[in-house]
Amino acid sequence: MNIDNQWIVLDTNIWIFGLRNQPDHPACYQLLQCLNKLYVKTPYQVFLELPANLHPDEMKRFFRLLHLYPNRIELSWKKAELALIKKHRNLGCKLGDAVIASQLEMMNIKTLVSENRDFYEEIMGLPFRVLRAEEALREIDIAE
Amino acid sequence: MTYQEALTYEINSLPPVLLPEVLDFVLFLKIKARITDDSLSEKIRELQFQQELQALSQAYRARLSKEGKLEQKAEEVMATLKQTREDIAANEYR
Repeated sequence: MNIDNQWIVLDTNIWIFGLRNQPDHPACYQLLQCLNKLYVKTPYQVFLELPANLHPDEMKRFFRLLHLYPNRIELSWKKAELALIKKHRNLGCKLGDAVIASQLEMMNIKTLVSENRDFYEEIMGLPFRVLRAEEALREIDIAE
Repeated sequence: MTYQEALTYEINSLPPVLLPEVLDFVLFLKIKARITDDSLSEKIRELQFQQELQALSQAYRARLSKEGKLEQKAEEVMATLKQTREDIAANEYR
């Protein structure tokens, strides 16, 4: 399984650390620079979280950026199914993480890129793997 | 006389035996030009993407700096993101 030929999801923290160009998470910005090589879906929950961090004019610029690659970057407007949220809550996810996990499952996404430790260290049995930005970059390098 | 008219005139004046080879060559040139066009527009798009990403990042950082939030530690930012996630989810799925 490699991220250069499948749809993946970038968690909100990847977008935000990337746009902040966070010095202690440099891989996030580097990953955003590689968006033209990836297939990225943005779940509804991530879409709701971004305006909580970005101002309206920054959101406009963000959308303009995404529209440069309409075949590679897609937004999903589907809310999570309650049964799936319950399932992921039972695995130990907090409500918000359970919503994200459910939306990934609904979109049949097999890879989430996230810097959120709750996802990549603590929850077992998720129907997708969780990569940190640095690991995702390594997969892109391997593919090239 | 246009370029196409000149080319048609030249092609029509060729001995018939040479015609298939010349037409193959013309087709080859057309395909080559098309490929060059495609890869050029892809490169322009990539360049535009990198410039817009950089500009958005700079604008966002400038705003955060003005608000005194640029120097926040990653853990602090992450904690805020997690709280936002919980608040939005609680609001959407209560």
